[in-house]
Amino acid sequence: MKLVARRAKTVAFLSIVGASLAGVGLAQGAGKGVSAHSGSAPQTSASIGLSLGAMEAAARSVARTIVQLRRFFDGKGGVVTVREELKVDANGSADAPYSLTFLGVEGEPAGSPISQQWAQNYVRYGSLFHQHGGFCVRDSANAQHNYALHDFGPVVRAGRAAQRVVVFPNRLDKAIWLLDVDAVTMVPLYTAEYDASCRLLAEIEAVSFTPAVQLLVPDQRTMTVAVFPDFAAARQHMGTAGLVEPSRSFTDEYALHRVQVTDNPLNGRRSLVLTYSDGIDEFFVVETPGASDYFAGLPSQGKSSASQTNTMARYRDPSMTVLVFWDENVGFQVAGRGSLRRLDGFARSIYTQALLTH
Amino acid sequence: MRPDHAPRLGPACRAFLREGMPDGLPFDAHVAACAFCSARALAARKLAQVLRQPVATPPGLHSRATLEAVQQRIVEQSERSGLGIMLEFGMPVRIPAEVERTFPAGLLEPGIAQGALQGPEPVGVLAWSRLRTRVLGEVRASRTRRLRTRAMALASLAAAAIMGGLLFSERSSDQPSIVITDVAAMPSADYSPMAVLRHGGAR
Repeated sequence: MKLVARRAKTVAFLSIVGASLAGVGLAQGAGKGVSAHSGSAPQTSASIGLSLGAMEAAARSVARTIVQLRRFFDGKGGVVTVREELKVDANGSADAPYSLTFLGVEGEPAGSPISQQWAQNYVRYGSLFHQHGGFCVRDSANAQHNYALHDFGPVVRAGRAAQRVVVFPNRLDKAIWLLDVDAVTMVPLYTAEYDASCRLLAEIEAVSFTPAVQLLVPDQRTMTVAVFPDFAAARQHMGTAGLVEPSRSFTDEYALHRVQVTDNPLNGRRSLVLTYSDGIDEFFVVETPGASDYFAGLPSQGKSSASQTNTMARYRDPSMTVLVFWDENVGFQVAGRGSLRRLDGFARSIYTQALLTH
Repeated sequence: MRPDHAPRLGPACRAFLREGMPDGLPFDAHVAACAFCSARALAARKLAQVLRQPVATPPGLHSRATLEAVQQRIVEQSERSGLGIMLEFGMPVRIPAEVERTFPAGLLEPGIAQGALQGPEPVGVLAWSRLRTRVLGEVRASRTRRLRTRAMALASLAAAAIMGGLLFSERSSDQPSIVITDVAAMPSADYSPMAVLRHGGAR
């Protein structure tokens, strides 16, 4: 019965997305030849052999230069569209050399305060935008287990033949992705992220696509990011106490995907960033030693308090869920896309671990 | 169909026959007037007279030869009957030679047969008293064992309950109390990758 209900929801959502895209014309040139298939659509697009595995392989093996528009939504109806150029010198690995260059804010003159602010954002967080800002198949085996691929037929994107597909999660507390995938290279030319209520949360649209790259100079970001094989190596590198290795028993289908240490040039603090992925979606656990207690002023947080209540702040809007808490000089943050409600339990388990071990 | 020469019996004739053709009233007038009934009454009187005389036993009936002949005929008739045929096929009266050869003749010795027929020796009062005492002791011991087992089970349950209670109380006292508070604005953390991805870090 649950399977039938979920399938019905899938079909309903795909119909809504297809109809809205065809009607509103959200993606330019995308309305041509869109044909929604039923909920029992195959996992691959038969016409071009498109699959999640093929997209993962393409992201690692296709050298490319893309000029694209990245849209940021502020949750109040405001949209900022940033033009950027992405160059990837693919070498078969997931960490191929790349550069992400800020080109300007759409509708803003070059040199304006807003444009300068976004230029600084790209200098500081460009690697974050590239690695986590859009659709990416990080582990095709996990992705195929947690998502279904629905073919919506051929479209034209950035002057190239593309295939429109919807990547639908098996559990509806995750993002739903609508993609236009280049028919030749299997590289996504358009990605739109929706929540279960069909709200658009993020969008990246290619303006031009060249399946080659020239004179790539890797980015020099002001926020340096070091990658480590596991938690122990990162903790040894940071050399600080109070860090917590989250228990794996609360992450469900999400597995630890990446362990990084970032250096914040503004305050000189290091943060341990653990990225968990279900193959496509991600959430983060950030542990920052030396952070100030976010709730130090609250009476319940005093050590002399009889109740010894520990407070965790939760911020939730349609685009993200962030839980923040503090223990023994370490600030913790658990953050994920959309309304990923299971983060509550995961954050609570980490906080409990921290309180019991310190 | 009744034959034509058969007499027509009236109700008086039937009543006379039903009552066993008695002499005297109330059937005298009818018997005197009815030829059928008078003939039957006469025949009945003659037969009763004959039956009242004892029959003389034939002289050879009590002889041994006559009795053996009768017995032989009865046996022969029985053997020819269905039961006799069934018994003949079902229970062979002849013992096979090999069985007869191997039959342990010792079983037929007088000592064994006598022992089997004699039965057990009578048990004395003292032996019965000892047996009674022993049975009562075993019953008492069994009851004691049951009580002891129950007491141990109850003690184990009580110990488990106490241990569980202690563990639970320890655990509940060790488990920190965590309260999640919803906030309207994003907390001012040092570095929030999700906030950067959503808002570009401009917030």
